[in-house]
Amino acid sequence: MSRTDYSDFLCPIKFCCGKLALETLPAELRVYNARKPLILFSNKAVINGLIDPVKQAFDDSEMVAGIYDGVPESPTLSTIRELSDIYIKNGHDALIAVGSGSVMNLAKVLNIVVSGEPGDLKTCQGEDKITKPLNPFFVVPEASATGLMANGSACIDNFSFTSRYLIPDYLAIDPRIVQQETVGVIIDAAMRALSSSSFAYTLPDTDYFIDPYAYLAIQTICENLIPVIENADSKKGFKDYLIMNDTEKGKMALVTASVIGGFISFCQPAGIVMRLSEALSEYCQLSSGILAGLLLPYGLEYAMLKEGYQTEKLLLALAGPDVYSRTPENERGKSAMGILRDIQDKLFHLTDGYIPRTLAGAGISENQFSEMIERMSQNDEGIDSKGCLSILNHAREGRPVSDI
Amino acid sequence: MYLPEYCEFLSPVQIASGHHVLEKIPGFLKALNAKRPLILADKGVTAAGLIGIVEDAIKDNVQIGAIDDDVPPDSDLKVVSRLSDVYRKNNCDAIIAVGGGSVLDTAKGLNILVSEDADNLMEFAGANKLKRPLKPFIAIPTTAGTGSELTMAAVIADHDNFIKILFGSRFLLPDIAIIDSRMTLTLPAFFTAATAMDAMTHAVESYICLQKNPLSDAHALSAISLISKNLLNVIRKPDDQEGRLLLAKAATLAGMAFSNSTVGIVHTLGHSVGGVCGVPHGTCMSIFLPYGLEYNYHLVNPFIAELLFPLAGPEVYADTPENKRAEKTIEYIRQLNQDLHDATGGRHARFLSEILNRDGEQMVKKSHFDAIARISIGDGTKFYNPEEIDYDDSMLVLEASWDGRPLNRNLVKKNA
Ligand SMILES: [Fe+2]
Repeated sequence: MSRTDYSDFLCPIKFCCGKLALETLPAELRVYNARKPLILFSNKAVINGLIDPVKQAFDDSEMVAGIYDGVPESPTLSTIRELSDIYIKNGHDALIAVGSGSVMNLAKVLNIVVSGEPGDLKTCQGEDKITKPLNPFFVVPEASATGLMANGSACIDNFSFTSRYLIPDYLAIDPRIVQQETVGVIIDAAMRALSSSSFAYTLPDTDYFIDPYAYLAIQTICENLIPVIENADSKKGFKDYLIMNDTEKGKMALVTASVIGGFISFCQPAGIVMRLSEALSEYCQLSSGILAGLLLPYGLEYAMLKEGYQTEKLLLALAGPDVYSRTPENERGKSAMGILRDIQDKLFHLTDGYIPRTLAGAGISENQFSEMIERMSQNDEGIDSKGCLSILNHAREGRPVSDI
Repeated sequence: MYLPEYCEFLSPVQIASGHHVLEKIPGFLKALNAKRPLILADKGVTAAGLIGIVEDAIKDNVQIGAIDDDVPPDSDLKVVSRLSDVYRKNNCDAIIAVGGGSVLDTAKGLNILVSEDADNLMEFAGANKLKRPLKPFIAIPTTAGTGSELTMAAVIADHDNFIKILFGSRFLLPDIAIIDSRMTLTLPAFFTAATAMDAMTHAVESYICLQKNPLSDAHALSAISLISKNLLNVIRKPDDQEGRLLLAKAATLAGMAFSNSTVGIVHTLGHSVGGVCGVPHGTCMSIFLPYGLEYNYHLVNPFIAELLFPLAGPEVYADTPENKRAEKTIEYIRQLNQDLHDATGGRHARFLSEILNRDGEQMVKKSHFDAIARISIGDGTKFYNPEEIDYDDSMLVLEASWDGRPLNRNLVKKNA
């Protein structure tokens, strides 16, 4: 019998992905008996011209959607107060959040307030304190899809919340909305998702219900990330906008994979790579997603040796059944790690070195490691300091972890 | 990877699985704000001792409102109405359904009546008539096959008017499905084989039919691989608890796949053979599955070829040239049926003429074919099959599956 005999799984989100996904919003609201949604747009979503396509989707619906166009990057409780007044005064009965993580975050907290009593914000703080379903909550993510789209966590000012009831009901991914984004943001989101999915997919005790989501995310990122970046408008460079055309499908797939990655990291405790990359991001200019991509093969090698993570299984998701079947059993894990390093190498070249291949290349010095790990273990008692140091040292020099 | 222009995926039932999950039910009920569940089952479930197991697992920690195991195999409006009286009289506030398709469908209907405080179920017939969540509902499947606990539909008969009424809404779904290995541990070998092949068919058809999408595909591949790796072992070693649990998980994954991407001709024909001749669903599925693949071969053989990997594993996959893989998949499924036939002492039927009832009489006769083919044309599943199914095609498949001959693919009319 396996070690983890018991498993508990729930994915309440309805995924809807592809052409005209926005046009499904009114019908889906009707399923919940909602008639008057309040639609929240971030400032950036407004600049990117996302209001019109979303508005048009309601043209023939006989629904009167309220529009709030200017959720700030860092909303506060007073933003919540303002919005809940609008929601209640105008008789709204559902929320749709359009844009990136900050809007999703705000919408979740707002939904707690408008679905119950104003005092709920205090009583619902912490983990699993919300006891019943909230009002319908839909999200329409931009290309910078982060974990926040599909998870059950939110925080605002000093309040933080975690609950299955904060997970959105409906997620519409539409090509008109994921149109433009910088390459750096796309890579960050994809590598973050690749890391959480790879760890979930190779768990020593397979979780069969997370497996399909993880498999799909890994496969999608591996097939689409490089082609999408290759097709970016190179003249503008990686920091400028990438215009989507023939890579439309690939980019839609990437956004979906990033969203699924966010869901997976909500189901699973953060692995050593995610924790290390969060900490590292404070020591350099790179985002934690990009750092997670860099650390991923080293972290997996370590987890395989230390805890029996099934790295050989990863080859199937990364390279497909043909390569997997042709590769001798005892070389599959190594091959998978080779593919991960290859992706990293290609990103290095495609971004003119912006995405580093090693921690040394990222300008992080060895001297900072122990101080960083020290700080990590102060906040997190379960941290494996020796393991962290080993992963960092190997990733610094670009040397595979072959023993522990 | 196959990427459609547009796709949807939803599987919002919480899945709690393991060898001792029943004991967690009181906690789940509490989280759902429920205190007095009505437990629903059929006589078969009680006879197999499963109600006893459920009762023992929860009775110390929750007040059971009532237990009713009088759900017939072809439940109807009257049964649902009678149960709503039981529910109300006993002040129940939640439903626990233990069983297969019929118990689950009955529970879904019952939940409409008691949640909407209604007497006439017909008011809610059709799609999306429900507008809000119903009462807490926990499903405990006992067959590792049907996947009814994951579908948003319920079929309930109206025996007075000789019709079947369809209900469709996401609010019909249970809140939680409990996958506990004890529920399938004593399932007889031939029944284990048939129900597992039903699950296998859900996964395979969802992978080749028109509504396939990347998420349903990923679930289907996992399901196929798990069934293929565990089914024969469990048949040969029935008390293999871990194998049983993996088969039940596979059936759940297959249910997640097909409840999103639907099924095709194997189910089309299976429903009508079930209706006309009373053959158990799983038996029809095992027999028609290879034919379903042959029938759609000219349209979807690349997808069929991809199934060889989860079915047969990396060695066979690598050893089979790319252009032979689809045929090898079909051959593999036929061989699986043969192995199941051998391992169950011949009780697992390989073709129609081999299906016998309890008295050893043939259940399907050639004279039934006409009626079966006619009814098939009206079955809802036919719309998602890649090739367009008509009367002649159904006859073609029925004739071949009479004695297990492979389908002559040249004779399939190419309508699609
Ligand atoms: Fe079925």
